[in-house]
Amino acid sequence: MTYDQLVYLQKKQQTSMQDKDTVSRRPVQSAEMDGRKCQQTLQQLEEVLQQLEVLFSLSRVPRVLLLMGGSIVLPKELYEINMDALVLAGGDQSLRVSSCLRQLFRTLFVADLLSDTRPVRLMPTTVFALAHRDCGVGWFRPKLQFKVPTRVKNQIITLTTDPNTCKVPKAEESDWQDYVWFQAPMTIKGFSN
Amino acid sequence: MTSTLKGITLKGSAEIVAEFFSFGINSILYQRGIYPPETFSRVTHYDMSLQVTTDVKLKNYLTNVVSQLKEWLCECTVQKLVLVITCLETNEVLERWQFDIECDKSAKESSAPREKSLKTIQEEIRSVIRQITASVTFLPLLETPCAFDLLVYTDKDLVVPDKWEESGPQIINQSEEVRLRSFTTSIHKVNSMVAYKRADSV
Repeated sequence: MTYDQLVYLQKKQQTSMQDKDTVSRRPVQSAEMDGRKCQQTLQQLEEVLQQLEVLFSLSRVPRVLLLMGGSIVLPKELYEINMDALVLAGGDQSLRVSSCLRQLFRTLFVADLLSDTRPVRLMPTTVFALAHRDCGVGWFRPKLQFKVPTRVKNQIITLTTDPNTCKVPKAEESDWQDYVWFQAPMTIKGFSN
Repeated sequence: MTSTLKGITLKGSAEIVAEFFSFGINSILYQRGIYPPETFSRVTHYDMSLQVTTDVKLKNYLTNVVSQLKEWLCECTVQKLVLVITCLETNEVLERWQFDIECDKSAKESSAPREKSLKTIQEEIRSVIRQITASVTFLPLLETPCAFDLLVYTDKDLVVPDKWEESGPQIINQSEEVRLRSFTTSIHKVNSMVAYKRADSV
């Protein structure tokens, strides 16, 4: 299922549970446990996404890392969303979100980055974001000693602005000198069903 | 299913491909919201969760189509299966899922089984079905009620069975196309793609 479908299903299940007139005491069924784990995962995801949005409002965020499984020193899988070549422009030049998302996901789909013949393994996910050291973010924790793992393949998704469409200059390497890595204080555990 | 420990027979291959079409069509109808989500139930197959319809009429319709497809797959006379999604009100074709089928015509019922494991075939099928799910992230939202049609391209001289009729290709005007992964049983190879109406530009 997609994320939206999971959210819809969870809301529907919660509504149907609230509508029940009788309360019964019985051992927790495994389906209920799965439902709770799903709910927990969705809540964790929602919190991380909301806090990322807060961080984006406080600072430029040129890179976001998703570390899956293993440890933060040696994860099983590593994905990077690299945005340092994105140009911020004024409101009247903003791209339409829905069109951008569709193009982005189509590009990811065609690149076949995430499609794998192996069964998907359940792995916790830790989110890191590179942001200005003085941005004042409270939720993410600065990790000054963190280095991007190099012993695992880093699948990089790069977002850039077409230089022909925007006259605002791109950020230089030196612009990121005061940027440090911040870690989300929770891992997204996930669930299997 | 006729597949021995040593490999895949023609009949077994036809069953595998027909079964994929059954689950694949169900997945598309679910993912694209052609039928309400509450009319689907979850089953496990290919080591993954899949949605299949509980709508009796739709179930019977798909069973009949898949059964006929199986026959044609055994005879190696089917070339393409196409699922067309149209706007209910205007009949405009909005989306077209095309599955091209290549059949090794040298394979006969009496031939020795081909050496390819069911596990490998199912892994390949799993990738395709995952891509069907993933496609909702970029396919345009179907905002109007839609209907669907199944078209089968067969060899020219094939007799049209009862309850089937000839049809046009139902092509989309100004479409974008995306290829999905393929899978092969070593006797039948299925190449999948989706075409959709070009949406507004950025």
